[in-house]
Amino acid sequence: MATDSSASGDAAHGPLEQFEIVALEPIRIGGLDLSFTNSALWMLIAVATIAVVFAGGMRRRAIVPGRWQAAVELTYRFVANMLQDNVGPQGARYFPFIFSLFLFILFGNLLGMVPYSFTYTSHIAVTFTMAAVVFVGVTVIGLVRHGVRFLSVFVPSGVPIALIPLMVPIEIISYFVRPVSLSLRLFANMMAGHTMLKVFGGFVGLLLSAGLGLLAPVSIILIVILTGFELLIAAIQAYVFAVLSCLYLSDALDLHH
Amino acid sequence: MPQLRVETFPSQIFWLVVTFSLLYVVISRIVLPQVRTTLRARETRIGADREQADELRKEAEAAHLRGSEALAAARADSERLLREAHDQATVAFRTETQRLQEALENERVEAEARIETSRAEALRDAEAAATELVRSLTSALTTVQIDDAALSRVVAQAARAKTS
Repeated sequence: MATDSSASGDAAHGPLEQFEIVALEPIRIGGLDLSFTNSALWMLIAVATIAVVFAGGMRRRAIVPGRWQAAVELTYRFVANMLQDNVGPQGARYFPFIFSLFLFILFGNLLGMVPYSFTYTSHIAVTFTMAAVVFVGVTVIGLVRHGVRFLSVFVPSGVPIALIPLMVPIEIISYFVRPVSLSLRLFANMMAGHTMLKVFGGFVGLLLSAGLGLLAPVSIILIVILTGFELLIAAIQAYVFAVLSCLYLSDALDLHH
Repeated sequence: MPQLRVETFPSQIFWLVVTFSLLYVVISRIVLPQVRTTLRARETRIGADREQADELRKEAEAAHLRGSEALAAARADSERLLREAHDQATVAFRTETQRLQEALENERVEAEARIETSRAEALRDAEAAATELVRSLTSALTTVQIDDAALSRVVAQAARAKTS
């Protein structure tokens, strides 16, 4: 990007500028910077939106649901079925966590599509913290449930004895890579999508300043298409994160299956 | 890349923990209980409605069964009544016919007897008249003394020969 272009104001900002974290209310506790930032603001907005949408949808608790209530129930059943299919009945006690996780990511991704908003799921610190919580939680659940036998997740069943020395390190590595891949997938998807949108948006300014304004609509049409695509990605990535969390949980609850 | 600015991590993680905990409480304490009670109420309602529908259906089937039984009984009754009436009429017809036939037969027999009597009387009168005529003619034309009994026998013989 031409950061020194004087003709277009917004295009002057780099495509990564949208990920900048700005402190809105500086807070320092014990030498740590815990400022209330734009990221924190949008997390709060997401939680408030979820609370309004979900508690509001259920306010009548009608036997025959209206559209709003049906949407809430549909989301509930979607996540409940996902947990049931991947973990089974013993996963029911982790439903509130999985449901919250799914909604937190979904609304973070979707609210990030609002112009001038901030996408907190496009930050590795956030996605990795969530992935780490899932990873540590799942490992603790597995250890509490199965004790030392939990280590048998590193020994794949049905493998010849000769291959065990080779397979166990691979399994151990793939196990510990889980939080990394889980967090990178979400972070990279959100960041790449938003960067791409910004780049195409910047093209419009560049084309106009270069006197090629007639080509600008092409870029705008691309932005429209990409926006729809990004909405799809936003939902899919929230689903993928939740499904993988379910699968890891299933591994820990039920060794070898 | 702003994502790699480590000095922002504590704030991000701190607010993530705070807001996510808040969301978890809202979801697990408020939203999920509401959804669950609603879904349970609906299931209960549907179950109850289905049970009621089952009961009503059974009742309807029983009523239908009773109705068809009553109909069959009524039909059987009507058939029986019809048959009885028919039988009674047949019996009455037969007895009446027999009675009339007997009466007719009696009358015929009586009439025949009367005819026979009349015929015998007429024959007897004719024989007597013939006897008298023969005697009158004989006594008028001849002097022969006629035995009455022999004359009667002869006339009767002639009459018999004539009639048979």
